[in-house]
Amino acid sequence: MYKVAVVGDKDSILGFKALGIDAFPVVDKDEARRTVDSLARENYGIIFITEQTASLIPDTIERYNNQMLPAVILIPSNQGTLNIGMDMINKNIEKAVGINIL
Amino acid sequence: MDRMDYVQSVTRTRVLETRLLSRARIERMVDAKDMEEVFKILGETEYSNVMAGINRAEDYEKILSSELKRVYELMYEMSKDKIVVDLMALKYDYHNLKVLVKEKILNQDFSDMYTPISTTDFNQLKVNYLSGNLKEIEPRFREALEAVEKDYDENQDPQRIDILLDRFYFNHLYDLALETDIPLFKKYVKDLIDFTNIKTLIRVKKQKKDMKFLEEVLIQNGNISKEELVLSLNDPIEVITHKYRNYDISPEMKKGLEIYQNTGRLSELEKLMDNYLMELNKPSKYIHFGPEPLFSYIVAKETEIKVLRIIMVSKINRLSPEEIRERLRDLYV
Repeated sequence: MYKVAVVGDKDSILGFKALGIDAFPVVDKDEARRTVDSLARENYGIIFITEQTASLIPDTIERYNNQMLPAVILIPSNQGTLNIGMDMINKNIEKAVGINIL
Repeated sequence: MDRMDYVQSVTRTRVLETRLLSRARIERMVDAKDMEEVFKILGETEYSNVMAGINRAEDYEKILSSELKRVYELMYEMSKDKIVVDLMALKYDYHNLKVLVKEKILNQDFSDMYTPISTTDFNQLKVNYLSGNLKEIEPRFREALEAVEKDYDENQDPQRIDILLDRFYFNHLYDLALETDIPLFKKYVKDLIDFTNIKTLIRVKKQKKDMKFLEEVLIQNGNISKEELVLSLNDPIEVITHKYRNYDISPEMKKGLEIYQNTGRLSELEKLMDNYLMELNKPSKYIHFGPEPLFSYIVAKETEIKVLRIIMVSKINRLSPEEIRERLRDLYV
């Protein structure tokens, strides 16, 4: 079975633990990249990552977007949203359906 | 307990008290523009010793826990009777016991969740427990561990581990306070139990659990009797505040519950509770012979660390100074 992880700043993601999702607090760019890469190797099927953290490592996110697994999904942090996650969903829909139906 | 045993340690405590953070310093931290500035201000205080080697703002927790550990070590060294410090340190024992039991049941390693503060040699206790050598463990902890294990075998409910251990904790704490026979300690513990029970009552009400559950989670030995509180489960908040209007904690309880009604948040009641317990300790400043000043110093230090944690977490999450101020606790000095 694949596992689910969440990556981001500690105060935003700790609550996910209560749902049984593994939480991985990170602080800076390098730590974020290392964590996402190692999670991808460790049989995680879905990796939630806060937009704030994701914006530090766009290349890494892009790399996993081109792969089947893991699915890297952006979520807003407690600082609010940067709209990167929603933009990505819109883009994917355009790719799949041809037009933006949202 | 001989009050004259404390002549020297009270004098030492007085010196330590002067190093507590002042209101002005706390205000400066609240208004600081980022964590770097908070660290800079903290570096001017007695925290500078434990700040060595910490560079990242997110590692603030390490600073706070090493400072807390330092305080407890110092106070154990200074106090003639261990029990004065035990009163405050006991909660960490029971925290560790919770971790220990869960570690054993899940067969996982939670070593980073233990606190280094303890009234006893916790590593030894852990070894004894894991090797099944329960005879060597202090009777009170052994009793608690055995009861919790038995209950888990029967019910398989992890929540009950916490409920039971919390109950054992408060009973143990109450007995310690009685043993000291110091009015302040007894009052502190009794009022703490009252506050805890009121908070429990409100939470159980909100979760719409039944009376049987409430009876399980309420603590004995408070000023407000447990039997009476159980019956309040279905009372509206106004009736609760009216029914319990003649206790020492009543003004804070009334105010806290009013705010709870308006906002749905219990955090204000918790803040008022901390302020009340701090206020209770303030007369210790004028006691020169006795263990009270040492105890109050620990309370003051724990409050200070809590205040610092609030400031730092708020700074990392970019809360405004006004929002931080709302959450701050009163200080000892």
